[in-house]
Amino acid sequence: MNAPSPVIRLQAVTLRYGRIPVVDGVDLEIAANRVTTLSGPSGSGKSTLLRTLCRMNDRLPGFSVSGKVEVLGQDVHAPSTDVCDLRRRVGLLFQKPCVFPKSILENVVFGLKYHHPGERARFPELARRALEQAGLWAEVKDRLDAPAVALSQGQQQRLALARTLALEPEILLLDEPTASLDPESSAIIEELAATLKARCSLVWVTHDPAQADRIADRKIAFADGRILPHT
Amino acid sequence: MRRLLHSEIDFRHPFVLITGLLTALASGVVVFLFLFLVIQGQPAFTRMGFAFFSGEEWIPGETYGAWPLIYGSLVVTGLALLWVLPPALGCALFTSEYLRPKARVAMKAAMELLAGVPGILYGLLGVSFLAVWVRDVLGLIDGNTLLTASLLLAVMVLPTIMTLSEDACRAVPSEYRDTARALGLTRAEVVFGVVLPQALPGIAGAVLLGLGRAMGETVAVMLVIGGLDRVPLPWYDITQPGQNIPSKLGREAAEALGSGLHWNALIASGLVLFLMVMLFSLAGNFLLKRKRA
Amino acid sequence: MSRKTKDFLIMMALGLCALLGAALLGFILSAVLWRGWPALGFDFLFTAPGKFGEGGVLFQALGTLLLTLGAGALCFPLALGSALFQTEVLRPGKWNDTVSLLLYSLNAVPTVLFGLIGFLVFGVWMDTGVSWLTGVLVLAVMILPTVQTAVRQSMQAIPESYQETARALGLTPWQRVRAVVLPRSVAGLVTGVLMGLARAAGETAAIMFTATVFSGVLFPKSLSDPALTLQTHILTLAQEAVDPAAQAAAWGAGLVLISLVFCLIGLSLLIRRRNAVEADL
Repeated sequence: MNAPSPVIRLQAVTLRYGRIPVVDGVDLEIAANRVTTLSGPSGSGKSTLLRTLCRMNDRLPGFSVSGKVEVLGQDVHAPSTDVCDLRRRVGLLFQKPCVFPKSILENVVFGLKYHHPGERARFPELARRALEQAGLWAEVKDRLDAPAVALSQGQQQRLALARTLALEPEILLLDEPTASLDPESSAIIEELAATLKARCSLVWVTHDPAQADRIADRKIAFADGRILPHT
Repeated sequence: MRRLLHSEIDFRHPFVLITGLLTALASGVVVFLFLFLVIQGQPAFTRMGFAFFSGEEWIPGETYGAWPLIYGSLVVTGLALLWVLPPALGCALFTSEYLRPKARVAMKAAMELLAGVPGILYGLLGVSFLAVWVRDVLGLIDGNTLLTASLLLAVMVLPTIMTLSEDACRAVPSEYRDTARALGLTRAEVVFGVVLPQALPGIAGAVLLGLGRAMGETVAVMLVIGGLDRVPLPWYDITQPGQNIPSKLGREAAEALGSGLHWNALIASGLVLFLMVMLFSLAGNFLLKRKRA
Repeated sequence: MSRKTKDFLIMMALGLCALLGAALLGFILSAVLWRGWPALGFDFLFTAPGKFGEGGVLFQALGTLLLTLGAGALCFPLALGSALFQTEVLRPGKWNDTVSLLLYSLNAVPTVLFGLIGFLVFGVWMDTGVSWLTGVLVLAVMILPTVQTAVRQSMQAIPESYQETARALGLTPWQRVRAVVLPRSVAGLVTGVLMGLARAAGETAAIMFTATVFSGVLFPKSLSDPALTLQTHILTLAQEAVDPAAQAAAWGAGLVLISLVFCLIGLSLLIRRRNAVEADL
């Protein structure tokens, strides 16, 4: 297979809580503009690994990393790495939709406000584009000022997705994004994955093998902190 | 009866009777207290009329104008709030958002101890240190001023406001923080963009409760406020001695001895103070307990 | 200014505030220790007071303990009984809220007012004069909201499943209280009482003209005798003493008082920590 150059490269990565390794000596390369799924039983370390890619685990007590985590050609744990910029370029979507108790529009531009404070004039246009990409524009275009918490769970998750997409990330990490949604909403988000991969690389953690079969360009199976062979 | 009690309760059971009696006793004491305040204070209101609130002269046996006391209470409390807010909030945010769990627990314990330091000790510290500093720094003849009292009160309510505000910050769900972090916000942006706005009602509640505590404090203020029943001239000169309601009560109650209009006037100003504190406390409690929409 | 610099500066500013808070405790402790330590000694702690401000503080300390423990002993049954009634007997609703509000509003009464009321009711109407018993009664009412709220909240925090199990097993309310409510809320009970005691021990305004005198007695012999306390002792000295020896005695008494109060609070913090479910990291 003639894969394009990898966007994520892990070399002998071991992640520990205290002494206990949750991810044990993983080597992995993930290609650009693909949907890559990480699946495995709960507790197999897939979510921990995913969150490490944008250094969301830094503040967990006792958490430590050894090995090399390279994202977008950059060692994420190098002292020179700007964590905030890294997280802008590597978006993360959580399992439980989390919207702020503000209006829909304010939620979408929440990150933009801080990353591009000088471009306020363009926010409505950027918000619209993000909402379109997240497949939510048609449903909310008439009530952008309505409180976001009034949306359904599925809509809230797509709003969270739009909020992340508004920052134009190069990689999108999804941590069981459909696990707390109804089947219909899940299907919508699964369909979005296919269109989004033209724009960025997706790494999708799921515990559901059937979902991995539906969406993945490449499936990686995890168990006990290691990658299973032949995946 | 049936509608008041839990359905499975037999109200003839001694347990119900005993606890019921104790509850009635506890509530009764409170009701008695309030009736007492109203009945004992009422003659001052009827005799003095509105002049009780607006009069500037308080001469036992002649006239009782409580405006200087009310003014003193408001000014001292307001200024205390001004001094205490920035450090208390900074301390709360740092403790909840930056400190490691162990350091946080230590900080909270320190604040709880600080909140328990008896008022009389703050008074002693105020007399020996703060009043002297205020006198020397500002070049005053007497260090016992409205300013001194407000500074001392600020120190006294700092731990209360800090602990309660910190609780309000901790109550902001961590998903909000994680989401903001995942979007690449810096720590300070997470704190001021997400945590602070979410915690604001709780913080306002904390401040109001602290305010109530500050308004009722007696001995510490009594020792450093100066004890002069006068609105300073000009009215904004806080480097002059003044008086507030609790301090007035503490100084004069023993001589007023439970009879005559002098006593009624003291109780009446106590009632005014109680109502102000109650207002702040209820508003504070409402804000603290308010559930997120 | 870059986002990073700003982030750093804000962290430093907030850290400075936290430092200030911690420094305040440090300052207060060291000031009390520095001024009070020289006065401390065997004689100071274990002898009777002499002339104005001289001599030891043994009886003042005993008086503070007497008033504090007396108030605690009187308040405890009231707080426990009414908390049980509110959680186990009375339905949640208007009446229950009214009781809570009444007790809560006691918090808003400036403590000096308790003193005034106690003074008139007991000192004048009942003609007991200045007596330690008045102080106990006044302090018991003053700490009632602190203790009762703590006790009630620890009872309300008992998981519903325990109560349901006890109910399903057919326990009567009283049996349920003994089997579930009391054992499960004992930590809250103890910490609530300790916090109440700490408040009572540090309170001056409520007892300064109802229960205490500066000299003339050592320890109350009858119900109508006044007591000496550390708080009011310090107050008199702070107001009037010019003599350095008397000032030193005030600080010495302050050191004894703050140690007593910190023991009570420290104990309650320890119990709470040991019983806290370590939920938040």
